[in-house]
Amino acid sequence: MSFDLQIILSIIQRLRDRDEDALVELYDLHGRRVYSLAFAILNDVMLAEEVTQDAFLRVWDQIARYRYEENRFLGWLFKIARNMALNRLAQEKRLNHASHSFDDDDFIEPPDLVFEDENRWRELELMMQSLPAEQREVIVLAEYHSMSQSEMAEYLKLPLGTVKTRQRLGMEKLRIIWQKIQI
Amino acid sequence: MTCDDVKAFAYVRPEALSEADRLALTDHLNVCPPCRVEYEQIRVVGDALLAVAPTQTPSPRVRQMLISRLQTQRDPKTSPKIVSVPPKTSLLQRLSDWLFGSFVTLPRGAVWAGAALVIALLAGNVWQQRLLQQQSITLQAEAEQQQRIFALLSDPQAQQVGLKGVGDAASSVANLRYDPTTNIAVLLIRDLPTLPPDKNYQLWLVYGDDARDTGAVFACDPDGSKVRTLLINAPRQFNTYIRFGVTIEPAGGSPRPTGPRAFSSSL
Repeated sequence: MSFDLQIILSIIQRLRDRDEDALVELYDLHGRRVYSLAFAILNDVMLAEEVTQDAFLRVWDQIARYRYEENRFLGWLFKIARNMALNRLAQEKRLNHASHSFDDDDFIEPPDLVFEDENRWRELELMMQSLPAEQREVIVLAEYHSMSQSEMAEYLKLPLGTVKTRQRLGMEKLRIIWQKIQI
Repeated sequence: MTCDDVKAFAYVRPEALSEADRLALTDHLNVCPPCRVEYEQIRVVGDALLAVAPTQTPSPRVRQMLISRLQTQRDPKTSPKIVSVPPKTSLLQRLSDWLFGSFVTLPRGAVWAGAALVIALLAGNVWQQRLLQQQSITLQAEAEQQQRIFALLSDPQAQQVGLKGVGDAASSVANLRYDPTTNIAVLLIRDLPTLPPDKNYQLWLVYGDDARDTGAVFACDPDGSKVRTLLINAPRQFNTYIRFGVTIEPAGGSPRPTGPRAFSSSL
């Protein structure tokens, strides 16, 4: 078990024991990533700050109901943050976005989503940055804004086929690098 | 649904699919293990991307406000008590009954106008209270930040490293003062050259070959002071880092250094 995962296991246990310091520790470890995600979706400092706080408080409130494996805990935190940011974005009516309702549970939970290794994140981050801008753009809209392919085509004023091709090419590159890091 | 459809759907986040597509996808995945494996491989990457959004550094007030809100939740006496009564009739109906039952001698239009005024005043009051509360928390966070800066500057155990300016910053003086056993540092820079609005300085904390954290993204002091003071809240303890550097990056910062070097140092 990695050192990072040991820390997360300890934090989860302390959160369940209602140790407030554990939540602050979790913020110190991952607040920057949660804030970055919220900012990527909202593009507004004040809103991103509010959503970041709300996401950590949601973890505090809901920890007793957390039912997945511990190594998916950070995935849960990021999904909460993303869904809250998207809901906030819909409230702000900044984007003419389909009216999805985002709750904390996604449709299918990937079984191998293990968020314990900063190195893997860093490699993925570098690969994401090195993608051609047009591929990165559709991936950002799909993964951060939960847009469907037809919504992206409309938003970007591109043919649907172009959107599908860009998304497939970009995601395949990311998948290859992700699996390589796993090995 | 065919196996080819599954691959196309895997690139879309599940909640962005229509209900019918979701059900068809679930049905297919339940009976087609190879598709399930492929689907999960793609979605795992999609989820991992949530953790690697372009790095932004939150203000220290976010942490402070999180702690304050946590304390407020724990001790509700510090926040206004709201007593919730389940409505027997609709709010509009009850308001109407109350208004018209009490002021039967006034025209209904006048009563409604008065009610609207009262509601507007109440809403304004609530908004003002919230604003004051936010300001109070922000001030508290700023005061705490100043205290931490002062404590670190006056700590005899703290270590200090000079950063050498290059290029336009050659005549600038920068010092990073930190306690190696914590993740807190103070960066002091005198005579920092002004950058165009689309550029920022970015402090890098290097801990290995091509391994670095962002310490801060900043510009010149907004108040025009010659000395720029920044409290750095690093992701790791400072005894992890082997050198520091500052580069000029696009506004908002970059995931890795892309622009010219402004300051550099080694421990």
